[in-house]
Amino acid sequence: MISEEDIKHIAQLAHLELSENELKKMGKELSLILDYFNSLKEVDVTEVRPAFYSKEEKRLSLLETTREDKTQKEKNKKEVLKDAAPCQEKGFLKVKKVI
Amino acid sequence: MELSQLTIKAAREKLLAREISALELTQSCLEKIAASDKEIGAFLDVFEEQALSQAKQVDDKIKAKERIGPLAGIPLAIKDNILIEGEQCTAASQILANYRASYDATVIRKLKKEETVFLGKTNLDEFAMGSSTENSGFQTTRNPNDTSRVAGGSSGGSAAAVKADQCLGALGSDTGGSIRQPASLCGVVGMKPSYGAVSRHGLIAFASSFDQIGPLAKTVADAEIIFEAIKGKDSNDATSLTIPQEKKIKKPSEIRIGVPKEYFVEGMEKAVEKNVKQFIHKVEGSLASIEEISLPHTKYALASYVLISASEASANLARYDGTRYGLSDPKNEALTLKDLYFKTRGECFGEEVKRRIMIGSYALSSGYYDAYYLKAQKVRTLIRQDFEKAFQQVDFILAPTSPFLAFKIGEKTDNALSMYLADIFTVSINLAGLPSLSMPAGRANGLPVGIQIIGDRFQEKGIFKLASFLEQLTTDK
Repeated sequence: MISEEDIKHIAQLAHLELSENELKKMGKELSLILDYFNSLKEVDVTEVRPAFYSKEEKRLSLLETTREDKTQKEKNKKEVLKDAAPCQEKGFLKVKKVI
Repeated sequence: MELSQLTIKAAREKLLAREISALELTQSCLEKIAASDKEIGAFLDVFEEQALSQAKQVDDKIKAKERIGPLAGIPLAIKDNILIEGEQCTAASQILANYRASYDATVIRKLKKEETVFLGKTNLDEFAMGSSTENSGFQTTRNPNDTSRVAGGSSGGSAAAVKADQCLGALGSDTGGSIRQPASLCGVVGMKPSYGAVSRHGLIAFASSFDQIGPLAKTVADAEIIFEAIKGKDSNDATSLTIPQEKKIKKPSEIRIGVPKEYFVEGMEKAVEKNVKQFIHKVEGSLASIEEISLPHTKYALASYVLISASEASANLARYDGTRYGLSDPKNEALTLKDLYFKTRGECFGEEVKRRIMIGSYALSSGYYDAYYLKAQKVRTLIRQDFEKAFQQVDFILAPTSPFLAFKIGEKTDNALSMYLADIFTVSINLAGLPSLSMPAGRANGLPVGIQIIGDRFQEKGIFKLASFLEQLTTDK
């Protein structure tokens, strides 16, 4: 069972505003899902390496991921910005005061 | 017969023979969309004008007897998490409702070079998280076989559009089954390529160690044509690779098939089990052998998948913060920076997306990392090794794609875990980075059943060849 405090803490870490109802529902569902994950406890993983990156991938990508250091023409930044950011000025992103 | 019912292969022959024009073909698809999409809800956006003008350009080339690419003039639908420059790309999320793509995904650039016609963008579960398209921030796609049922997901829009003859083929993306499961539920062919076979540059990221773009089509041959057009190494996606030369491709009579006993479990629909077994029985005599194999860690695959993919998603979706994307009013001076983050994400993300971000943040948070994330990654290694061992014994694996038939809309929306179980037979393949193709294996209770052919890494050609053979063997003439 996951506590309400835990849920609130995780929501803080994830930058999510959750309503009281959402917090309650999320607590119930996450508890069920975490229970389901507990089945992993029975698997013996002594001396098993995590699969962050397979040996095969490493071998293949080392062969292929380097390229010549040449400049490439990219679009001008104003054009790229205009489609994504809701608030901007003179081609710059406008952000909230940080300090 | 309406032109939109044609296969890609047949349409191309007719285009080259000048029996039909690309314009007529595209018009036929657009008419079909206009007539049926109110009910089905496959499309989030339709590009009528551009599609017609793209088609006309191809007709001019054909008239001038210029060479055209294999997909020239062929109308395709694109899942709305793949970027087409200048067009909306929402990933079915409210947080991207106003976003227009500023560049082409590599797969789109490749298809444009072939002069493919783009009909529009198809519906999905928000950020591709789901198995029914019911998590879309805009609409639910209905299954063309029975509109009271889901089309599957997350590429449900693409699968339904292919099934309803609104297009000749489509692109989808598959993180834990999102191409194959809707293909199975709608009764079309869907293929998830090997990890690294197709560039993801311009695909809105969900879980980067799983995501792959792949085709949905009416026939195996059509899926292969699309795959050939989009595959290959791309310097903009460092995980993409040149597909190594395949081992010798065997004749069907030399192929040994394995059927994993762990893929017939309690809780799967009896009708699906019966149908898949009948299919296997029907093709048995034409292949070298079909034997039972074991993939012993299968029952841990779903937990491992949900943990790892949610962890990756929580990081990938951190960029949607209200400053760079979002709906919140940035002119509201009362909001602090932190308020803006919390409000934007709280208001714009749907329930399932929030749930996955929470699961991922939990699994990665201090104190739980070893018990959840690291453990899941170790189990992932064991699942990969299961397949490595299996492929020393057999050439391909045959298994059901989905444990159940297309379910009723609303049937599984109350319980997140029961929805996750829809992917129980597909996630292992993504954990291992393998290619797999789902194809129709008949019908049960009037609804399509799908079977998947799983191959070793980069054995796409072999899969297509075997699938074509099985398709011929089992299609009622």
